[in-house]
Formats: sequence, C-alpha cells, structure tokens
Amino acid sequence: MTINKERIGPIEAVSLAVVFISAKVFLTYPAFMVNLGLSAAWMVILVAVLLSLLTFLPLAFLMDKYPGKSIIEIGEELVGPYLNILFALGYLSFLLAVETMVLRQFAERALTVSIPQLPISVAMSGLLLGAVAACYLGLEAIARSTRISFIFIGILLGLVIISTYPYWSLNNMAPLLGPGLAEVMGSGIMKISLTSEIFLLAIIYPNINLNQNWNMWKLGSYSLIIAGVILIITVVTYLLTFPVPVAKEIPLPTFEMARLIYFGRFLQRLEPIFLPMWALAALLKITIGIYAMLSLTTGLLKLPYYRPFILPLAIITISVAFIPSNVSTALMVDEKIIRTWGWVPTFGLPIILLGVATWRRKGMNPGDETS
Amino acid sequence: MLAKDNNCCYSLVFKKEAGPISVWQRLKETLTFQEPRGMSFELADTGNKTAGPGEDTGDYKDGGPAQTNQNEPGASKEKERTVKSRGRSRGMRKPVRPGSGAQNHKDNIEKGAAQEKPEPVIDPGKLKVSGHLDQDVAYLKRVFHVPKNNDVVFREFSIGIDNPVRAIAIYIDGMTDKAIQNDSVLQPLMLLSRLRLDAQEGNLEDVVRERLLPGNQVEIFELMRATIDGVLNGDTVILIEGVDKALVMETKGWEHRNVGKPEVEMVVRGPHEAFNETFRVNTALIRKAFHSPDLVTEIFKVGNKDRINCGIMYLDGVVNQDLVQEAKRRIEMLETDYVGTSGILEQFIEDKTYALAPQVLSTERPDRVINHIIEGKVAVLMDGSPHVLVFPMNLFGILQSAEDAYLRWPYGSLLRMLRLVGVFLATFLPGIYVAVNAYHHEMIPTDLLMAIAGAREQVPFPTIVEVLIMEISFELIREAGIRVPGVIGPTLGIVGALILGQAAVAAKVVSPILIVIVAVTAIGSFTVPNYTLAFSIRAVRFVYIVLGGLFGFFGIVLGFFIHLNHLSSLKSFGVPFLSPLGVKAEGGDVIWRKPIWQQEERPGSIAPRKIKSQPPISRRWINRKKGGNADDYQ
Repeated sequence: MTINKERIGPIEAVSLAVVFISAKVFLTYPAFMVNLGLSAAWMVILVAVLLSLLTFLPLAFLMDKYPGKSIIEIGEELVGPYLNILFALGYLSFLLAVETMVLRQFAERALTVSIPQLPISVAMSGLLLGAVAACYLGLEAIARSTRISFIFIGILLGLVIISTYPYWSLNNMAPLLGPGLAEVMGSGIMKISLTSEIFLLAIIYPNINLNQNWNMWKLGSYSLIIAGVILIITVVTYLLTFPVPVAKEIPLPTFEMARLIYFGRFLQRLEPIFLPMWALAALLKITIGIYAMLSLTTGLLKLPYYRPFILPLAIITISVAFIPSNVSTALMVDEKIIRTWGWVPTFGLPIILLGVATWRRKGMNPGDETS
Repeated sequence: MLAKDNNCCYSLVFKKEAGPISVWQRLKETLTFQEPRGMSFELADTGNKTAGPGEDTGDYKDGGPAQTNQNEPGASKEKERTVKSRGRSRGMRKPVRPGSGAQNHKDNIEKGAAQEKPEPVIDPGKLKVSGHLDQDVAYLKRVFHVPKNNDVVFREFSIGIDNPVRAIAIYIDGMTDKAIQNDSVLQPLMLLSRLRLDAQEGNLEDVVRERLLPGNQVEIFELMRATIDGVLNGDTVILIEGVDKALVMETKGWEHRNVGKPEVEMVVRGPHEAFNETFRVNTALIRKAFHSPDLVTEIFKVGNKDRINCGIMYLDGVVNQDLVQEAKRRIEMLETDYVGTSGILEQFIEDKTYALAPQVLSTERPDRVINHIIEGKVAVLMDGSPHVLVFPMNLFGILQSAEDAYLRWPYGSLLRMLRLVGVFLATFLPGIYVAVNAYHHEMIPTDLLMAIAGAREQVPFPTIVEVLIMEISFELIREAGIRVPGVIGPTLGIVGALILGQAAVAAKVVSPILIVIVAVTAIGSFTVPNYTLAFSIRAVRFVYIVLGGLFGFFGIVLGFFIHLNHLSSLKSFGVPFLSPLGVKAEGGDVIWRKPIWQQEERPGSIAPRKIKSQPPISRRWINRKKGGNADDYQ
C-alpha cells in the first residue's frame, strides 16, 4: 500500500495523538508522578502539559509553513539529505525507545493482571501481532479503530474513576503544593517529555486532510489539552483514592482502582471487565508507534511502500524490548532516560529546523514550496 | 485417427474419404485389421466435433473395443508393418498409442486440434444483418447450433399476399407467449397484409413495424448481437428478405413464480411482498411503490456465455453520479462466462473479496430497496435472482430491519439495541465463558462460581473442548436443518434437542450451564437480520473461543483489536464500512432512531447530491399561523 495515499480526518488525527500520549496512564506513570510531586502530582502534569504546548509551537509553525510535507521532507529541504539522516535517526531512536519500553511494560503487566502462566515472549508477540496486523491494514484503519476505541476506553476509564468515589478522601490531596512550588515547577519542566508523543502529528502530517478550520497548531493543542485533561483527572482520582505513601508504591494504579470497585456482593472484583481498556490502549499505542516508525523509515528512504518494513521493524522492536532484564529496569529506562531527554528529538530538533528555515528564509513564500 | 473422448482418453477414429468401398474389402479390413482403403489417420478432438442428428460429417468412430484392441501389447507385427508401409506410401502418419512417448503424443494432439478446429463464428457484436435471408439464417443457425439445438424455432413465412416477401420468425420455444405470436405477429403479417409492400413509402422494416405489427414493443436492430439477445430473452425476431435489419418484437411469456411473501426478512408491520426471479416483475415492484420520474433503471448484459439482464436503479438528482459510474464500470467490465445470480455478482463487484463481512446488502424486500434508493444508494437487480443488491452499505445498515422504520422511534431504537446485544452475545459469549472459566474466576461471584464448578465437576473435558463440541454440534444441526427435506425436519429437531440438550448433560459430556450459554448464543445469532452477516459472526465466534481458551480476556481483546481494524479497513464502494463510526459524517439513521420529523438528512458518508430529505419543519401543520409554506424549503 502506498503510504501517501492514505488520508485521515483531523479528528482521527487528534484521536491518534491523544491515545498515543495518554495511554501511559494505564502503566505506572501516575505512581511515578506521585513520586515526583507527592500530593501535587497533578500540578506536575499541568506544568508539563502547559510547557509542552509552548514547545510545540515551533513545531506547529514549522509544519504549517510546509503544508503537505512530513518532518522528514522538511528536514531534507532545510538541512540536506545527509544531515537529515541524523535528524531522522534521532526521531526513530525516540520512537523505538518509547515503543520497546511500553511493549515490555504492557506485556509484563498483562501477565500480572490477566494470565500469570503465560510466557512473556508470547504476551509480547501477541501485542506485536495485533500491531503488525493493524499496520498492514493501513493508517486509515488504525485511525478509525483508534477513534472508535477511544470512546470505549473513555467510557471504561470514566466508569473506573466514578466507581472509586466511595474511597475518595480530599485529605489525600493535602498539602496542595506537595513538596513545594519550586520543586513542582522543576519536576514539571524536567518532565516536559511526558507529552513528546505529540511529535506523531509531524510524521503523519501529509496524511491528514486539513481544511480552513484546522492547522497543525490546532491539531496539536487540542491533542495536548485533551491528553493533559485525561492524565490530570486520572492522577487526581488516584490521589483521592489512595494516600500518597500508598500511591507511590502501586505499580498499576488504574488496575488497583478497578480492583476496589464494589457494587455489592454480586458485582465485585470487576477488573477483568476493564481489561479491554488496558489491552486496547496498549495495542493502540504500540500500533501507532510502529506505524510512525514505518512512516519515518519509508520517508527517509523515499520508498512508496511501507509493508515490507512491518515485520523487520516488529522484530527489531521485540528484540530491543527484551534487553532490559526485568520490568523495573524497563520502567527506569522509560522514566529516567526517555521522559527526561525525549524532548531533544521531538521538540529540540524541530526548533533547530525552524531556526534554519527562518535563517534561510525558506518556506515563507508559498511560491518557494512549489519550486 | 486418434480422438479424445469425454474421459480424456484417446481412441483411434478412422476418417472415411471419398470413394466406393466394396463389401469384400470392408470385411477383409475388419478381419485382418489392415488399414481400410480410403481412410486416413488423423487426430480429432471429439469434444469439439460432435455430430448432430442427421448431420453427416463423414466421421465415424471406432469405439471401446477397437481401443482395447489397439492397446494390447501383443498386437501382431504383421499388422503394424502393413499399416506402416501403407502409411508411408500414402504420406500418412502412424497412429500413436497412448503412453508411447509423451512428447510425441502431445505434439499429435496439438496438431490434431489445429486440424480439426472448427471455423470460428464471427463475433455477433461486430456482424450486421446482411439482408440476405438465407445467409443470415445460416449464420443464426450456426450460432444457435441448429439443428442439434431443438429449442430454437425458425418459422418461415411470407409477408403479404399480392406480392409476397420471404420472412422468418426466430424464437425459443417455451419462452414466448404463443397467443401473442399468433395474433400479433404471424396473423397480421401472413393473413391480414394486403398491402402492396413495394409501393409503400419508406423502408420495408418501418412499414412492417408501423403498420403491420401490433405489438407493444417492436425494435429494429442492425447488429446480430441484439438479434441473438432478443431471441435469448423470449422475444421474437423477424428477418425479412432484402432488409438489412432485424425486427425484435416483445413476446416474452415464460412460466414464472408469482410475487410471494418474504422468506427471510419477515415483518409484522409493513409490506408483505418479495422479489421473485423475473427481472421485469422486480423492477415493477419497485416502480409501483415509488412513483418518481427521477427513478432511473439502466439495463445491460452481464456474462460472456450467459448474457443475463442486469439493471441498476437509482434516484437521479440525489445519487452521487460517481457512485453510479463506479457501479456501472464494475459490472460492465466483468469478463466471465456466467454471472447467474446476484450472489455471484456480489462476489465479483465487492471491494474486499477476502473480507468476512458482506459489503453489499442483499435483500428480498422492495420497500427496503426503495428506502435505500431514496437515501442515495444504488440497487442492482438481476434476471433470475430474487435478491437485489444495494450499495454502498455499512455495518449498521446491514444490521437494520425494514420494520425499524415502520414502528415509532422508541420501538425501532429498542429493537436495534436488542439486535446489537444479540450480535455481541452471538460473537463473544462462548469466548468470554471459556476465558472466565479458564483464567478469570475472580470476577464470578462466589455462589455462581460454586454452581458452575459443581455442574462441571463430572465433565471430563476442559471448558474449551466442551464449548467447541457444543458449538460444532449446534452448527451441524443448523446446517442439517436447512438441507434436510421438510418432511423429516421435525425429526431433526427432536434428535438435536435430545442429543444436545438432555442426553449430553445426562451423559456428563457437557455441563448444564453450557447448554444455557450455547442456547443464548444461538438466539443472539438469530437476531442478526442479515443472512450473510450471520455467517460472518458464526465464523468469527470460533476464533474468539480459541483465543479465549488460549489467552483469556487478553486473547479476546487481541482478536477484537484485529477484527476492529479489519472492519475499519473495509469499504463498500469507497464508503467506510463502519461509517459513521470512526469517520466524520452527518445525518443518517444509525442505531438510535430519531423521531421521523427529525430525520432531515441523508447519510453524509455516501456523499449524496442532496443531503436534506425534508425541511427543518416537515410537519407544517404545527405552524398554524403561517398555514404552511412550501417555499421555506427548497
């Protein structure tokens, strides 16, 4: 299938970005945020999201100057094909790192919550199988499935959040500023990479049917705000449900919240009902990530078809995902490295490209784009 | 000569050449098996050369015994020598026995086929009626394989009495109305025509059409293709000496089924008519219920051998013309011998042939077709098929029943919700049961868990085997129920109910709760209003059972994810199959039915030319002051 032929609408693109960013709430991120910001963990996310809105601005400017072109094509036009390879490798490294660690964590957690007897390799292969099949069917299918699944995931997450209401305690939120305003702000700035996945929009930008009402900034800001709201609401509910010392230690916060649900003697222990929420989010995140890598690879090599790359990329992903010795290592790599330095390729490199574009005054004149 | 019979075996066939043969010589040749005088050995493909009764082709075959004789390994050397020497002297080739050299054998077949290949018939699409009656009749006889083919009748007669002109009527016996033929074709032409035809102004064919043939449809064609199609469709074709055109008069009159009740898509409230196998009856069923001059029927032929009538119907001004063009392009560009029914045509024109779900709606109800045509969709009717295809179609359209629209909106919405629950149960329930039993006990309340465990205590199989046994048994009974003759149908029901129900539980093969699960699944699948979609659900259910047995809920979600992506990737004539779910599209009547006065828009996903189907205030009687103003909406 030709990669450029697939077209998706703006709402599908926003759904893709939102799911790609916010699927992490189903992993250990809420607990990790509580570790950083204690009772003010939600403020850390708020600061990070607001800052990422700012840092997304250069990327949005850059993309809107070159309508219909992906970040790879823009990079090639601005810094030349050779330097652009380094840029592309930077993007690819970020995506690969995110994908592999997320795959490992989701697979490990699937074993924990669902079937402990299953070998980890089978769980990872299963998740990748779903992603490979979806990538084979193309971006349109992925985007539509994401939009549909987003509704189901949202409803289930809402149910989990509302159902924990009996356990909420406002005292858990005190002190309001947690470790202090300075530390909250500092953590927020450091964790700006929490929303680095918004870079997806720069990759699939040529596939999005944009009309007068939509541009890159609108797409990105909507995605970041919706994802931020999801992340903040989940963390706030988590904090309301569990006291901070407990909340710091729980490996799967949303799962623990679901386990608490008790509607009566007959309706209790309903966490398997919410399993589709976790599994669908995991599958979507992995699928979107692999598709983004496919798109980058084919764009870099200027190839029209992406399907031959699906299996090799899947094999690379699963191989890298096995490198961490255990899930704790994977989690540490994710939190300490990816979420600390992820902004460099996703927000930093576009700023450099925008600087080059401004310096060379390229892309400013619409006539230049056609030449 | 060597000839291929129906079983692809080759036998010797002797071709008789001109020249008298004496009785003595024939006897001698028979007894000694020497080459008969005046006979040559050559290959003939008998499959392509079957003589008709009364047709003297000069061929006769030496059948089985001769073949056996020739295949005997110990045939006399003298005989071979004789054949060889005479063959050489007359420039003949030695007959090749089967198995005596594959390459040689193959060469001979090819050469023989080339020699005996019948002269190709000129494409009737390129050949015009010549005006030489004998020549045209000879051509048509060849096309229709007359005299082998006894169905086609060539009735010769003369037009006019004073100055008669030779003519011939051609038709297929049994497909025409004899009364019309006698009264409206032969009688006026033969008996009532006292006109001096040569003195009339204009062409003879025009005179015959305008003054002599009182039929309601008489057309004049130049090409032989139209002539042949006319004969094949029950018309009477008239060829006249000296006229290089053919007159085709509509005399269709074959036996057909009357309009009956729907067999599959029954409703309590609504019309009770269904399509039948006659093309024109089906178009009339739509026309009589939908009176609009904008309703267009375009008819063309499909298939190379069986040139069957196929019509597409649409509402001009509403339908997207790109859709009409695409539909025509797909149907007209088909290159196949036979497209017998709409079921075969559906497989030829659908977007994704490997998909499990049907991407085209097949319905037997005229009212349902009309509803879709009004929305801006296209219907395809085929001669001989009691089902009409409608597209583009999405999943929700297939899940709808005609009755949903005829009931008030709360009931229609409720029925659709129930149907969705039925689809969910039919697809997932056995898989979920297996997954819960095998991996997720914690979600079952303790009392229920004890009941299930107690019931399964003496069952020797794991849950997945138990479920598969029951599901396969049920599918067998369902299939048998369709195929079994009606007389013994009740027997099957008794056997199925006893075996599946009581006996299996009593024998501890399955647990009683599983019977409940299978029964609920079956009932759920019966709520699916579309026959082909039900097949899809039946197939997918087994996949979910296996995934649930292998990986629990994780496996079911994995399967669902792939299934969802697959359905999302499907398109029906370019329209996403899951629309309006997952894509932006206005309007449409999907799951929740709005009150009828709120249904103002056609489904935007099919991009009709006219999106509004009624004004914002359709019930103008509610506005007493204005008394209604049609100009509010254009």
